[in-house]
Amino acid sequence: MAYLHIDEYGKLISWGGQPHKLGLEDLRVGQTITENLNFLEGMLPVSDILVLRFLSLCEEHCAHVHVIPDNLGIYVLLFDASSEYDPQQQMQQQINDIKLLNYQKNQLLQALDNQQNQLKQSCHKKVGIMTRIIQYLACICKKTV
Amino acid sequence: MAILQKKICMIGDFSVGKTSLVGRFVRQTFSDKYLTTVGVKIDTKLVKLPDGNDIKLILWDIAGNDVLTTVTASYLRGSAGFLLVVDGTRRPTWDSALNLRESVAKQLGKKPFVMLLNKADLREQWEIDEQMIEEQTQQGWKLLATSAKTGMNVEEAFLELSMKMLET
Repeated sequence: MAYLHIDEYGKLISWGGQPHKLGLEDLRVGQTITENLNFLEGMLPVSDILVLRFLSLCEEHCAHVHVIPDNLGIYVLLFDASSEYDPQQQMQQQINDIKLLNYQKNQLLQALDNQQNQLKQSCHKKVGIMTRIIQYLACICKKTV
Repeated sequence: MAILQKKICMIGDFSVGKTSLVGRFVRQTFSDKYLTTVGVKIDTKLVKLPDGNDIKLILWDIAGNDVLTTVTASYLRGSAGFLLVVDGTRRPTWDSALNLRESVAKQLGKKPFVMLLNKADLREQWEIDEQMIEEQTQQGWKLLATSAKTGMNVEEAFLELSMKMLET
């Protein structure tokens, strides 16, 4: 976990915890926070509590971020969510994979349906032609007899 | 002088290629394997614009969804523009994109965006026709056919949006 305290001008007043474990390095008191914490660009100021779930700042780590306005500025709390990430990712992956497979299945069924319809139409045409040929031949036979 | 920074959100249904587009743009990499994004991934890239100025793009690669959820909406705060991504091979992702664009407009107000018709390397499998594209173009939308796989129009897409953001 880590916390950052930012003043009304967006400058870092203080920080604590283990920000380096969440991919936040080189924090310096007095620096403009968006220079170091890019994800806060455009975010500040906030009037209500803002929660950003599963925010990945680097490849290895992920955090639930709470941005909390206060009379003395803004507090940014970062809770390590790395251990929650993998199970969540696996579950979502399965859901999305199933959705994709289902879509592909429906597309294939649709294509099959279209082919069946074309086949039926072609069969109807074939039967029609055969009937006419038979009728024509029958007519010739009658005349010959 | 501090470099200008702008936040950009990647928006679109799942598996349309948002993460791949960011990967291609930022790291020049691509993988065929589909890995679902959970939450949001932040990346940055310094871009040199045609006018010679530099801009630092803060890219928010947001987990794909066909609707704008409360969680997703919180990620949009402070965004200067967005890329609306569609998988050309899946027609429903086009419909999702149109709905998402409306929801985002309600959330952010009028912000510049570019619609990306991704997976242009699979053009023969596209379920999006020229008429659909033409209709959106006539409404003043900027659409680009992209491929994260080949890199086609990826750089151009981010540059186009950057220019649009600076115009506003």
